[in-house]
Amino acid sequence: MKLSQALLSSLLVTLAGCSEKVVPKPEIPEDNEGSTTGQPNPKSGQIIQPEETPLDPTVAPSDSVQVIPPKKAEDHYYYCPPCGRG
Amino acid sequence: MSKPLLGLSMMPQLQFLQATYPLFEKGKIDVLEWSFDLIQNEEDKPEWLHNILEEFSSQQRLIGHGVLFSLFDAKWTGRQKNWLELLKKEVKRYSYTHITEHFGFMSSSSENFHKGCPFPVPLNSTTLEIGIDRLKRIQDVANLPVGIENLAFAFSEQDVKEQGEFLQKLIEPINGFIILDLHNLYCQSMNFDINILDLIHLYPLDKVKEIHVSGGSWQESIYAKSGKVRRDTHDEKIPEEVFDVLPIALEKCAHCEFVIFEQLGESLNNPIDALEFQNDYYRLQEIISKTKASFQKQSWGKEIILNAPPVEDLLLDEEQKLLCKTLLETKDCHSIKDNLKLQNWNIENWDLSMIDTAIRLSEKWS
Repeated sequence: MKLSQALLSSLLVTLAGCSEKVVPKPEIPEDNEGSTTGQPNPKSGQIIQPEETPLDPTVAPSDSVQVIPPKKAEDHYYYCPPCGRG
Repeated sequence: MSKPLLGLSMMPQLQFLQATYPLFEKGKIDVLEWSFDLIQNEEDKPEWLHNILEEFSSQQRLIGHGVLFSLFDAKWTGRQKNWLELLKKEVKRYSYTHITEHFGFMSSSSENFHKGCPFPVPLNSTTLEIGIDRLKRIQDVANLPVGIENLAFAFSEQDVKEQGEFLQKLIEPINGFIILDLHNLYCQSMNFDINILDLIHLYPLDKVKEIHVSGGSWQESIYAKSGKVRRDTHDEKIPEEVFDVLPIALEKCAHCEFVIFEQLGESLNNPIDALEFQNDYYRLQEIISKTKASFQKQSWGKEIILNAPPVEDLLLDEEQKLLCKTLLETKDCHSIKDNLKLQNWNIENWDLSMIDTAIRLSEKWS
């Protein structure tokens, strides 16, 4: 189902805001220096999108992929996992 | 005749949104399932989550999946009453296609939603009567078709083999439907050494409106012949066996409209997790696109007339409480099997590895 562009844009803003808070800015310039892929390093908050073809999970991600650390359980005090309680 | 729609069980964590955003952006998610009872206060719901739910609601592509009602509690308590109040508000807030709940009763009678896990009930006339009563009350409030999901956990092989027939009797009075959770069947298949296809055929497949797929994990167990027990933890990739059985299930379930992929947001901790999640999703999409299966629209639900107070059974209530207390306090599964006396259950048939698992589940969710 296609989502409205307005919703997609707002989701991107949400994610970007989150990334800026939790992902340290890279010390290296935001170009392809330091990237093993030869591609520019992603900017903070950039969403990394996979290819649509099935991926080989045994292949480690490139250095250019940034990680948003998971929130701790106490950050989700208002929520508990559904199902999965087996 | 249409292909089943593929979608996600929605999670409120930002890392879940990050992992799934590419799928949303490409319009790959056709339906969303939302466990509305797991947000304690509506004001705690992130705005981005509300916006997504609202958009799917507006397209009639949102389905509600309850967790905490505790369908088979033998006593009607504030828990059920409050849950129905919540449901009443929820179906006004969003336009759900249908509402579902889980088979079993919650191990904790506390209304604290952080506590409790679903345990199976004895499959007898008492539990059948209670279950039907509760499903009628859900449908009465929701005024929508209501379904129930098969449970992963079982104490005995007999319960595994009889669950499908019991579910059929349960939904018949409300013209309800079944969520066939393939990973739950996989757990039972592994834990009781039964071919998963043989298990599937024990379910009323013409009553399946929705299929769930997920991953899980292994727990070491000295009591299991294989040395391990499969758990429905929703924190790992979908097993190959579940991928393999999906096309077969789709062809056999002529009225299956939805396939929902469930994985916990907490388990998507890094880019590899996110890519594996998306990879699994695309594999599901490919299976659905290649299958010759297409569903025939079925009419679900019927008008309910409630003219009696909730069904209760005090002996079963006492025994449910005693079972939960014993599982928490007694760490020896031999002792439980030998000494626990419950009229409603056939404890002599219980598998030690599953009693051991129940003890661990109780500890985890107490």
